[in-house]
Amino acid sequence: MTAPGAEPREGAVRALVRPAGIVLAIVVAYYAGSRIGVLLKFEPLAPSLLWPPNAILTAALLLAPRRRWGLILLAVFPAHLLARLDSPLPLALILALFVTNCSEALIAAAAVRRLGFTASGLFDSLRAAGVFIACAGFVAPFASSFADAAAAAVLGGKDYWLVWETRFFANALTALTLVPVIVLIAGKWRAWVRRGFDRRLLEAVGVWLGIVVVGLSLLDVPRGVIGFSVLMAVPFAVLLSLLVWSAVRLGPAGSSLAVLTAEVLAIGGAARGQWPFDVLSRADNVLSLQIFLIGVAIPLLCLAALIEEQQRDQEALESRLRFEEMLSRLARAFVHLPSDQVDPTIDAWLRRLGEHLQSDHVAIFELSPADKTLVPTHSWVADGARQPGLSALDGGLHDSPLMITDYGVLSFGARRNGEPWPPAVIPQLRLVAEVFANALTRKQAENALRASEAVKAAILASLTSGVAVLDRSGRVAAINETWHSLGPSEAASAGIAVGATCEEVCAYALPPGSAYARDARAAIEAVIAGARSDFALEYPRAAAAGERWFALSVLPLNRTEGGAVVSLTDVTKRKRMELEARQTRHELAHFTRVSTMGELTASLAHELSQPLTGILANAQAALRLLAAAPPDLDEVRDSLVDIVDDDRRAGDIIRRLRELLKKGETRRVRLDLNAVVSDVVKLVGSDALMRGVAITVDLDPALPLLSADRVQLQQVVLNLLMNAMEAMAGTVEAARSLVIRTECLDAGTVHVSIEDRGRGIALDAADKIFEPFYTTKPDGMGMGLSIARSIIEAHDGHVWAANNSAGGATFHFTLAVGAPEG
Amino acid sequence: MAGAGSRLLIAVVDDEKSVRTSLRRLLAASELDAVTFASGQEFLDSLRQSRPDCLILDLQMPGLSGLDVQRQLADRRLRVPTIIITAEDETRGASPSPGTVAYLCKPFEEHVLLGLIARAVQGAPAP
Repeated sequence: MTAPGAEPREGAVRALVRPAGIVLAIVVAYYAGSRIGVLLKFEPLAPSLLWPPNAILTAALLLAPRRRWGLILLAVFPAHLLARLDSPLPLALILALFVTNCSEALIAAAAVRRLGFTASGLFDSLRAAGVFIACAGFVAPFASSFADAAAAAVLGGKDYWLVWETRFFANALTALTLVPVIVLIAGKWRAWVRRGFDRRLLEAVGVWLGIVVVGLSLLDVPRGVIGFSVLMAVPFAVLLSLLVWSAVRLGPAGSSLAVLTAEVLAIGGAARGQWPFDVLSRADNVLSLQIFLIGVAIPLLCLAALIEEQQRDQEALESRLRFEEMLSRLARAFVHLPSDQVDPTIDAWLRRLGEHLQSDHVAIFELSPADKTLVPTHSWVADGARQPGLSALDGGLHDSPLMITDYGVLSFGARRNGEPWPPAVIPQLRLVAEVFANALTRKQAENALRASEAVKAAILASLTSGVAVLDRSGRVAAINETWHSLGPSEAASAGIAVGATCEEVCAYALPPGSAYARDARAAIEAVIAGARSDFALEYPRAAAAGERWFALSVLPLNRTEGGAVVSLTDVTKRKRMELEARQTRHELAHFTRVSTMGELTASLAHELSQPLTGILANAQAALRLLAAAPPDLDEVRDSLVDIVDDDRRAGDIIRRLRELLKKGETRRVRLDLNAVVSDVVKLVGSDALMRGVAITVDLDPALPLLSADRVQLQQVVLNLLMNAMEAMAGTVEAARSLVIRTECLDAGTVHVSIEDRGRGIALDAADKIFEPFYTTKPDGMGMGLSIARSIIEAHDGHVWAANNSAGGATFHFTLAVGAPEG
Repeated sequence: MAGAGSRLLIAVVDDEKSVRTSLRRLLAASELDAVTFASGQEFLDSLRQSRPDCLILDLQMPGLSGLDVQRQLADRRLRVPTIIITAEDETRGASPSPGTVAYLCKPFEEHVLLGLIARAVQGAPAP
């Protein structure tokens, strides 16, 4: 928005003053032209040699917009009258002549416009020049001269054809020589002023002075002095040469000025009756001079226009070639350009493009993929021009090129020379935009790729496992740093590098010569060959600080070219933890067994007291029998036999106790599950008696031997029996029954069930009872069933529980028969 | 009760064979007649034929326990001096039934048993 007040008013004043000044200049020129035209009559009643007012009016109409024509014609009317004040012609004729003058200018200007030409460019091409010559130099004077001659004949009493003839030639000559000068000066004076003094102007001045000198020296020489000779033709030749020179070298404007100058000089000579105009009558001289000058002016005008046209075409061609050459260099500049060079190269090319195309700026905006906004990324701004912002794009939509690509937008500003953007340039700018977009997109892709490569390298480096990638031939294609820290020793750690063989990799990672090393190598080769899908191995290796454990895994490389990924992990810590966990589990199991035994103390005391009672009573009876006379030795022997039996029985109880209480390592042996069950049932027999629980044992005699740890299985059975008995504490005594069964499910699996008539398992507890620390007993630890499960699972079995339809629950477990072990 | 001058009849009720056999042997060597029963029911059934002078009764037995046997004796208004033998210190919580002379913890010394039997047959209450 402009501030209200000064500026619009100033604009309005300027809009009024400038045309008024121009109209005044036209009026003055018309008046002056009329006076000159009158002066150029050799005799008061003879036709004028030149008639400038019509040419001035024609030039004014050509230069002015059509809407001003009426104003101009109206304005020159007083000048027309003023110029004829001292004329002997009647007023009616003067008025009629005004009408014919106007009609000539109107015919010429309207015809030129009608054929699609305007003042600018009217002398820049042969065709335009031809149109001008035809309209202003022939049709207009030709047609208007009929009316003019008629008016002169009727109102002035003159000879019709004489008037027509002299007027036609005078006006045609004036139009052909004066209109181009006015139109071209009006159109180009600003450019000339801007250009200042240069060689071309110097040349123009030189040619012009040459014409003046030659014209004056030759035309001014009286015939009597020189006399006629062949040499007389030389000045004409020189003059014509200078005129041709001006047409060839100085353009239509220079040429027109030169012709006009020669014309003025010739008229001057003719007016004074000098050679070569001293032969004929003055009227004949006028006509022949006019024809001569017309004959010179037309070809020179055409020649100048033709050369101008060719020069312009040549310049346009050269400019286009330069631009195309530039585009070709631009396209080449971005081929194989490293991505870090893309930005500076684009900046340099934006400058060159901007300077070449005379844009006030060139800018690239990236279309942000995230939020679809345009972000300026590169720009070049001409000196003094405004930095382009996003608003520059709005302007671009209207008159400056705006190229949209996948990357974003390439925008140009207004042209510094004020000219519009040539349409022919637009497709080429589109190519430029594509070149930039490709380079920038490639740079982004390369940056992204580099970032992802860096991430991959960082991932590989940050792995705590050693990773070696082997190619199809089994050679190391890539290896991470961690691998080197897992080597057998510091000294050997430099051994594996890219290019190492599979054998070297195995020798490095595994104990040399071991079965592990042989297996691993065969497995790696098999994985590479596709014979197996993966391989994993854990092995110990001696190290300075004691034994260390490693896990080696081999997977196929998921690439079309094949290969394998070998990863090596130090699992010593995990192994130690596993060992500790096993130890802890073991101790926990032992602790649980000891606790269970604690619960059994009363019944065990009961169990043990029976044989001890028998032993003591039998021994004391034997003593008494021996003391009797005669001693009953048979009865003594029976006592002793019973003592031995009772002692063995007590020993068995102690053995079973010791077995459960001992803290030995896990040891798998072939054992009879039925015997294990019987032993435990005996152990809890007294407890069952005290609890009033009737235990029924239903053993499958066809049970195969198992490979299992005896103590662990005893612990499981003991735990399940004790739980079952405890579950029946609330059951009426008569119903406290417990059935333990063994059976063979199939050749590889045995099944044990312990069925009670207790309270059963709460619905929500069914899946928790085997979890650690889950207990329903007020003083329970919640470890018994959890340990039982881990024992059963370690024996490749399953443990589960379910409520019985008749009340109580049944706990089941299966065991794999397993292969015999040491 | 058996007549005076004849040997005292001692009944032993215990589900444990070795205990029964050894006690029978010990009592016989101590000039006492001993009759043994493997269960409380067997003993109760035998009461139709004879009544022992003293009962040596195990507490924990399958089927009828020692206390059940004592309860039935009381029900039948039979007073048999009884020495309870038990494998553990199970005296707590068990109210002395009528006729109980003493609790004896297994294993026990012969003189203790014989002394208790002597006291029982004399009708003296347990100390």
